[in-house]
Amino acid sequence: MAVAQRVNATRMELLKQKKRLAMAKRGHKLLKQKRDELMHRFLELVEETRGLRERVEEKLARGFRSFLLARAEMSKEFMEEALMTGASSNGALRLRTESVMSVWVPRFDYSDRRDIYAYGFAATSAELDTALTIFQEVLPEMIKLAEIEKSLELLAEEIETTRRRVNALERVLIPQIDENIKRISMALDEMERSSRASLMRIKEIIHGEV
Amino acid sequence: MSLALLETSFRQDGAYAFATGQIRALEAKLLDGAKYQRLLDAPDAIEAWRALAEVGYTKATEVRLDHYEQALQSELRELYDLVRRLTVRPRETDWLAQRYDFHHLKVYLKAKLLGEEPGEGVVPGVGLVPPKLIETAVQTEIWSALPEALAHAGERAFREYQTTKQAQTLDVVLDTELFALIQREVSGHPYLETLVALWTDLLNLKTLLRAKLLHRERGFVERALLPAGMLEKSKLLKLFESAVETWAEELRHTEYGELIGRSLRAWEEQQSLALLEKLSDDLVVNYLKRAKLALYGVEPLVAYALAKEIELKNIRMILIGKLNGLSKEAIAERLRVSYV
Repeated sequence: MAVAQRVNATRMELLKQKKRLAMAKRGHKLLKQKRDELMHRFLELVEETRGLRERVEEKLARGFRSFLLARAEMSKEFMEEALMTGASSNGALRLRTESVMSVWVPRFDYSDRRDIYAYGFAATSAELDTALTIFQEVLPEMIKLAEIEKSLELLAEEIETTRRRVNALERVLIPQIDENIKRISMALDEMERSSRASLMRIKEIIHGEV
Repeated sequence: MSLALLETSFRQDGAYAFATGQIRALEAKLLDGAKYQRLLDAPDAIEAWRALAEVGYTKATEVRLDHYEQALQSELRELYDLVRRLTVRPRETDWLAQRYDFHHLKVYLKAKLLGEEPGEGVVPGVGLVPPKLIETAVQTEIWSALPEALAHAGERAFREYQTTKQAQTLDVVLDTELFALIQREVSGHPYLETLVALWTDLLNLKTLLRAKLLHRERGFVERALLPAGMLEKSKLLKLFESAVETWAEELRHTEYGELIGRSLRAWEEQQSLALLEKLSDDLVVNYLKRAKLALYGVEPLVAYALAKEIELKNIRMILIGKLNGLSKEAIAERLRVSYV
């Protein structure tokens, strides 16, 4: 049960509390809408990330298997030499942010124009081509996955905050204001009855004297 | 796979009588099918490492399993010490070790271009030229300090890189220079000439197939193909222009028709060229086995050295497979055929 605040039982205070109640209810409605929309976006992203994560994990497993086989075919020194120049420039990752229901989520723009097969074919295993092809394919998907999973984390935090606000309005503030209004109204009614009774008594006394 | 089309003749050389005797004794210690099976049957990498000591690698397995690469490297070093000791005319076997000189040259050239340390790309003690000498020549660009073939290759690779600015140019130039050198060095030895031609063809076919699958242009293939073995460069380029489905048919009159056919079927099923690499090595090992027919000569020594390298590759495959939880069957299907 909401605990009523100590408020002055005046008509002005009653008006103030009624305005607060209207505003709290409007805020509650808006926050509920925001929470529902955030949940909707969150679930959409969950759905998207589930398929994407499965694809990424499946591709990485294939990539690592191929890399493992390439590593088994080639000695450590030949593998080192083949991959020495593979990581050279021309891959670009840019970060920007975008507002989703006033949550700033990351957006990555990735472009890759690298020639990853920067080694000779005579001293290297063909499995290395397969592994690198898979890794190159999966990298943009991993970046997308990171973007979505970070967005999910931020949205989840915002949903939690919004849910707490909605609950606070619904279970604390609004009942508290309701209680205040009720008390003030009762107090004012009481005061009105009391003054009416006084007036009636005064009237009786005046009439009795006459 | 048949090698029936290949003629074999040896240059009997009495000077190698002692070396051949020693090689025959060492050949008996190479791993056979039963010993490989014993390694494969080991439940994990630690057990496989222990089993390796039991099948003859006692010295190598004195180190811990974590250092298996160093152990294999030291086996390789011992192998090349043996080759240097047993060879009568170094020119006949130097090309085996020169492959590592070219590898070191690649490492130091790439390190120079990146402005970095060469990392773990060097195999000390295996090549003919000390890696430090190659490093200094690359750093100073004074190539004359190196043996002629290596100096020429290094200079050309560096020059061509300046034009293309692609690191792959270094590999392509050095690989072609290396195989041109090997072909020169083995000329006059029918067995070795055929071996190198077979090896070159297999590498060229692998390059062709990889380039096709990676959608490389004809210009790249022209540069990347090694100096022709038994298959002419023009034939290989014509093959590259045609659809891969026709390759097995085009090569049916050579040793490679069946190999390409089976490899392409495996590619369609598993998107992997592992079978091509295995069948290529098997073909080379089956050819190497013919050196057992030589009474004496350089051939058994070369065959033993290459067979031992393939054995080390098999051991690496078993250990890496076991360390990473690959099934016994998955490892076994990639193992190369045994020389013995």
